[in-house]
Amino acid sequence: MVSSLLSIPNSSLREACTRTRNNAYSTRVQLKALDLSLSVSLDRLPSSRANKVDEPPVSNSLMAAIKRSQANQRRQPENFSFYQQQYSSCSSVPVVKVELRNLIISILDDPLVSRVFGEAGFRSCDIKIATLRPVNNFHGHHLFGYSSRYKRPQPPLFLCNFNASDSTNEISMSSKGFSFPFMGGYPGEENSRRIGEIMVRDKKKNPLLLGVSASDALRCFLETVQKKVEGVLPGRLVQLNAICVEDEVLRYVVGEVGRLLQIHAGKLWLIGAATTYEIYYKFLNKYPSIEKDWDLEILPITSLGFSTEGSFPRSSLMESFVPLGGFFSTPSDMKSPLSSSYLNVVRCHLCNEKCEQEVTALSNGVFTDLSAEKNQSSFPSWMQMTEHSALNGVAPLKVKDDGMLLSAKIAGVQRKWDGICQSHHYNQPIPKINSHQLGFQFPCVPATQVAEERKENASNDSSNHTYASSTECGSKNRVSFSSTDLVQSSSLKAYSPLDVLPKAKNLNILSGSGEKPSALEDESSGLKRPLKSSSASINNGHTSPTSITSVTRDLSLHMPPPSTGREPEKLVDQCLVDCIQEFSGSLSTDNHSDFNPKDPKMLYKALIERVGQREEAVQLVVETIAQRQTKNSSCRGDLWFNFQGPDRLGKKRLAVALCEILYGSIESLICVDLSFQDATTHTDTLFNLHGMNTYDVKIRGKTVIDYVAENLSKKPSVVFLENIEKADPVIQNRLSHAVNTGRFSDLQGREVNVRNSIFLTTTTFMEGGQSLSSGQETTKYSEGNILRAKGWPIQMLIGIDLNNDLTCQNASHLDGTDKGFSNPIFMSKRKLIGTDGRTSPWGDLEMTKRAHKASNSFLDLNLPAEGSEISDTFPAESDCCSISENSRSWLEDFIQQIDKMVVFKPYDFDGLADKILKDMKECLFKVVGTDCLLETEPEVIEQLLAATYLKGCGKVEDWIQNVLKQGFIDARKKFSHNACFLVKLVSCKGIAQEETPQVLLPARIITN
Amino acid sequence: MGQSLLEALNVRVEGSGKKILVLAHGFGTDQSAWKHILPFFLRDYRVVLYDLVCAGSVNPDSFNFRRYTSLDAYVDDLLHILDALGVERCAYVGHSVSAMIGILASIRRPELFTKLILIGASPRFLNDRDYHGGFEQREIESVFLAMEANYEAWVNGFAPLAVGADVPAAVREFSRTLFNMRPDITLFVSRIVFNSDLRGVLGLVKVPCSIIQTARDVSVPMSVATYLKNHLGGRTTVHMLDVEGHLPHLSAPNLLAEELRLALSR
Repeated sequence: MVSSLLSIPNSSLREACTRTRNNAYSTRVQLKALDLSLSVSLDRLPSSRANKVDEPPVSNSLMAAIKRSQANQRRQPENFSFYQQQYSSCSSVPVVKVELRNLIISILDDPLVSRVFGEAGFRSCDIKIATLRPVNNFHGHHLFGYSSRYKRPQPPLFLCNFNASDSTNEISMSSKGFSFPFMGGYPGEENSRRIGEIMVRDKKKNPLLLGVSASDALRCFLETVQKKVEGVLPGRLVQLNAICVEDEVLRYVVGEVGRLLQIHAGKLWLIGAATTYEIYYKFLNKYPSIEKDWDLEILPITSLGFSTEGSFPRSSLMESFVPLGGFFSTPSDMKSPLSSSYLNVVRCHLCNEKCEQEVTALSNGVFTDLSAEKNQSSFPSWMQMTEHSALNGVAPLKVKDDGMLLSAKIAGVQRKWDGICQSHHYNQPIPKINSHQLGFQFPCVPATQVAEERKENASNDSSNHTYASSTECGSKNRVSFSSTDLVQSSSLKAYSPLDVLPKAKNLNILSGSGEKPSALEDESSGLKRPLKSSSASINNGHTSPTSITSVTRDLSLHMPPPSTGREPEKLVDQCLVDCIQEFSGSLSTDNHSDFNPKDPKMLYKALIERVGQREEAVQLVVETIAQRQTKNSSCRGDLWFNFQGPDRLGKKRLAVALCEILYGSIESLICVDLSFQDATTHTDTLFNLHGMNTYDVKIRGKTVIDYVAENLSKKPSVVFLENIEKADPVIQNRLSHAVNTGRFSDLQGREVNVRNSIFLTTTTFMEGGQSLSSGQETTKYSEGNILRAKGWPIQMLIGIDLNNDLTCQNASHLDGTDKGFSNPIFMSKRKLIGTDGRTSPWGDLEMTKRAHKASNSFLDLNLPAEGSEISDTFPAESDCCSISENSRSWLEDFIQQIDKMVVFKPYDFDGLADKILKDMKECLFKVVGTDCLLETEPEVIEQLLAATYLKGCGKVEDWIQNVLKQGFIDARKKFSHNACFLVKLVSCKGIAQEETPQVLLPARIITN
Repeated sequence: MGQSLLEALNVRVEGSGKKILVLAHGFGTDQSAWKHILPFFLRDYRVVLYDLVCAGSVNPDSFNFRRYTSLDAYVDDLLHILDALGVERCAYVGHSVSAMIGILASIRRPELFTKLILIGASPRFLNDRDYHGGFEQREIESVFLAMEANYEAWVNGFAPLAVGADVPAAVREFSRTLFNMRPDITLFVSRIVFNSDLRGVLGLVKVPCSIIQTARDVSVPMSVATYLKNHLGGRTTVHMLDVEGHLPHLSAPNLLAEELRLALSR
């Protein structure tokens, strides 16, 4: 019903609208021109209504509605009388309004129409009220909004008329007052009003318009002034006359004008316009005191004038109004041409252009035309002087004559063209109508375009949606994928508890489960950890001792635990033996999270096995957990630790281990680094384990708080918050709250119980906020650098010790291989070699030593920074100091409330480095002999240290024994020379592309 | 005017700090857009929140189509609010259209602002001869067209585009606030915004500014940030956020809060 109502009336209504408007316009125009008599217009208006009724393809219901409304109107004599009164008052615009108002009201009275309106979402009484209100009331435009939203026939009719009588090209314009019918759009009026406001002030009353469309605004204003339109300008300004003076002229009259202004203060105003501040600034430079002399007030003009560009402006704009349901295309067509008529206020576009040409020709380059907006000249394109009419006789004399002449000529030309335009081009004197009639020539085309565009839009939308949904699907798939994998791994867990039964069966299952992991490992290396974790839980949890051992062994074949050295493995066994002893009796627990490491000893060993060497810290943690367990019933069950000191990896590793052991899976670990540094240092990516929840600032739409709360609500977890000294106030609040109450609330205020969760917070500070820098000053290798180490391929460079005065056989070779280096030190070295062909490699060595030293000192410089990163990230201004002060005091409070403080000692990188070097030298010695010298780039050492830090000593030892040794052997084959070798290990930063830089211990050494 | 305006625009003052921070939301949102950001500043600032008159949370009857025909009326509102609250100095964070409003307000009353932080700001959205604002007139018109044709469909298409489709929650939030706006007001305001051109007046800004620009912003190309930096009259810095979307306060609140804190301390 509704749709049929809509579809049919659309076209007819549109036509009707058009016609009504045409008549309305012509009436008004003719009145304006004083061409038409009152009776003529009266005749025409009813005829317009008749036209409407005669429209052929009107649906019955609409026809009835219109007829009824007509009848209504006829039945209301006061409407007609009102209408006539209005007419006799000769104010054309209201006449149209009144008439339309009556029509609309009567239409609205119709129950059917009001139902249509009701269905369209607005009450007809609202509309009636709006219609009955004074014309410049704005409810009409509210209605416009509704109409655009609901695309119903009636409102457009309503609006067309409003808009038509408004003669505007934009909604924004349609909102302007009716008192101002021929002036530009509302923004122009607004600007004019503001100009006026400035002008009536006592001080700073000469506005300088600044903005890209300042000249438009100025023109608008001037037109307002010339037309003496009331209602926009303050009363005393209405009688202004305007004189246009160009900048060139002004140059001579700057002083003069200033004097004038002083003399005739209150009667003379100066308005300037400049496109941009830069231009104004230039002007200021030229006349530094002008702002004061001329009493200028800068007025930013920000709304764009609607410029006429192209012969028929903005077909796109037409399109924009078409969609108002197809039927609405006419108003749109009408509107867009009006944008041209706006600028060319009185003339039509064509005439205007010609006029402009003439004017510019006239002005001969000295004058820039008034309407040639956005002048490209580097100066304010023109300055204009407005003056009170009383001064007409005085001021012009003082302004240069030619200026006056020209402006007069221009005015003449403009007038001439106005006349031409009016008489020749159109029957109706006011071109606006013509342009809108022009617009009618293609109402259908845009409509189809629109339809197409809409389709496109729609398809775009849908494709967007599908895209989004598909990505969602993808992620879901992925999630489900990994979860199935995890199910598999957890099924392993499920198997093992069964193993309490016969041994033979155990073995079967175990072998099965042993195979599975390996297969899985092949599939996705990322799953290593979950599997490990499962094995770990098997290890430490419970169940039959034999199954544990065998599973561990099986698994360790495929994927050694993180800290696999030989010792750890032994430890595992040792631990398992313990396990057996401890748990052989108590096999009751299947659930890992119920795993109560009632025996601190066992927990300790399990932890040490994973964490390695951080005995004291582990001890403390274990003790605290044990303490808590003994008085479990009375306490909340959440545990709070603060890990202090450096050794980030150690802290993290302990967190991972705790999570795996106590909660069964690494999925229960929530990691957040509150420093939000580029969290992906290389080693981080290596160490970040698949399956653990790590907050990344790039996780979009979620704050840390929400992230943590969300994960906590899923299950008890280990929350690992790094660098809490950098927590923002929000996080600080939540943490304090959680420590105190055991409830963690997210930003929406939802609270999550943190019972059974463990909060591990870390600070790089030692107790009391003292940084470690003092203690570390002597270390060569800082943790930060190690963690940043990249896994470059390692290259071996071989030179001959030129102490023996042998020719440098390999100098060129060295030279060549150096090419790849981006390191500036080596660049300079190459230069050395280049200039000084026979430089001894010792020079080289010295260089590198220096380099080494340099980097050492660099490291030293860097060290304090590590301890006081706050001052790094927060520039040392008072503002941020207070922030960090705040956080410091908060930190102290927070630490007071925490269960246990655990201090991590710095990892002994120097010792380790010495050991690695020693190992390498031994290795070289074994292969080549004593005469060889080994030089190692600090980067290589750092890389090896990082490997050690991450993977344990054993790996690096193995690497030295296998890979490096092989490298030495190869080198020896190449240079069978038994002279003194100089072997140098460098990392190839430039040529790393073919090998993944992920490998800290490259599989082979590049030699050439 | 004063008190009723405060009520009409839902002005709220939160927080216990000494310094005053104004958070002004952008087009299509309301002050709730700051809800993730707000908590970060409650301790150190008194935060002034208000709705632009065009926001969906403001009674549409307050929207005077006669008055709000240029950004200056919005500037009036802002200054009225600050005056009514007795604010003498404040830092101002403005997103999108509010960034423009902030620029204009700081031109009119430079003494009022210690700092402007402009998120997703653009002095002019339309391309011009030697200016790349990111939109052609035609594109804009087709946007308006789509808006008029089917507001709901437009919102559903625009929201993920503006926010980034990967953050469903933020997209929902943005869609909600967009929907809250009455379509005619939305259209009206967006026309005002797209018809604004602040390029000429940027030089008048003497207040130090921080421009926060996301790596991919459908509304504001990178060149605009550079343009702003080069043309703003005060000491100006540009901070890049390595996230996408025009509404980082919805899509990457943590990152933005950090950046704001840095910018405010600078």
